[in-house]
Amino acid sequence: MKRVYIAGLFAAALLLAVALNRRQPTINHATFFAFDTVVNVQAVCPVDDWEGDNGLLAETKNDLRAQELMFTRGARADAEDIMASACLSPPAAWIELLHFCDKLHRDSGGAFDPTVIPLLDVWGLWGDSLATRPPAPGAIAAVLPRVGWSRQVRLLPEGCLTPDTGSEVFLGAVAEGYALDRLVELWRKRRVTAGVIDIGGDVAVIGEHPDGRGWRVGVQDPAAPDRLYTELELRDCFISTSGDYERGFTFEGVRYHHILDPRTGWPARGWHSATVIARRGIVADGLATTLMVMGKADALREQYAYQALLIGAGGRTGKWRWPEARP
Amino acid sequence: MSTGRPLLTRADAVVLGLMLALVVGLWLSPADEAGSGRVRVVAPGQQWVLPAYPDRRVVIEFAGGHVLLEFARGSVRVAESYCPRRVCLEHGWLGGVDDAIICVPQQVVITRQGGRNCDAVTR
Repeated sequence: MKRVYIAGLFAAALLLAVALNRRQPTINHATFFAFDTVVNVQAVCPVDDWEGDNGLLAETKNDLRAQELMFTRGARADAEDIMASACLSPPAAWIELLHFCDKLHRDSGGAFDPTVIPLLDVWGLWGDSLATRPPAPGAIAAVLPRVGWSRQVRLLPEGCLTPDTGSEVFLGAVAEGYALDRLVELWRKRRVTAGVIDIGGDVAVIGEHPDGRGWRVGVQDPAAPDRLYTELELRDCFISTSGDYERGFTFEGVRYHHILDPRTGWPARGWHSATVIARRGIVADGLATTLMVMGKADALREQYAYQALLIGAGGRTGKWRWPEARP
Repeated sequence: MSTGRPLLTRADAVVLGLMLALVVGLWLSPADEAGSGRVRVVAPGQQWVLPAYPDRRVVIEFAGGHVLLEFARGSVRVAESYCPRRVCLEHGWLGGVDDAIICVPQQVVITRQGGRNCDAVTR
């Protein structure tokens, strides 16, 4: 009888262990599509908090879907449509974004400009099909008057107004960063103390890896997309990269890419990629594009808290307080 | 008064010891640990984890499409796909553990699992 009693106790302990194991924090992974790109998430939390209709994963997907709709025109969710076309009555969440864009445009002397769509159209770098040769110089000059945030956009406390000249406001340069800010806020509310959110290469890291190290984030080598240029261990920050390898074409040996200098209408020159680490997603995302255009890692050090790495031909680098790679 | 019979026989002790080890193992083991030498394929609403070996060709079918994967020497490539731009075919063989083949039109992601050096890559 005692044997049965002891065996029963162990069986109960076994069941309890199985149940409690689902309450043990563990690294939960998921990969899915959102913002027309691949999203990889890792959250350190109990499985029960992660799975299910009300779990963190479902809430994360729902939040991204809501943001996609916010950024898209109508119900379509193509990256090409991530623009604020209905600028007359922007959703409340946009207002913070629009004011951030306004500040970054002014701080950068126009190097960051969300009204750049007409130029991307002329270059054939917008939409599904890619151009194979640069446009005629006259075509660029013809659309430049339609580009220019400070000329085209009048920012009001409740949103913005655009004059009826065919200009549009494109928030794609900060959309992923903004989405990361919101998701990190959501995860922290759900008491996730460690995790990684990667939206197509824009990355947020929360806390540290359960092994007691920082989260390892690689920086893609712009000269060889299958290699890493460096690897960092990061805690509680955001990291974003803009590179000339993402979208563009090579014509007569010259690379033409989608990161255009709004002031000249031509692709930014000098660097292959810019990587920025910051405490906010929109800062890391917005500055990565902006520093590619400005061409100096410390160009905005007076206005923003960040670290930056610019990578040029032959591994040439420009750095602003860039952390050392892990040993 | 003792009967001289032990409470637990040696066999009982072994069984209980194994159960105890199982309890402790379940308690300590993470619920989701990536295996090594595997390839993960994520498609809309579905996910597969396939061993990287042996060399073979595998058709992955999912709602709205399919891809033909070719495994060789522990790597994998998309050998056939019906997406419009066929970028996934041009990607070639999956490189390092931080590489991924992505077919945006069909929403398919193919990655190596296990032995991953980085938790994320900024690009």
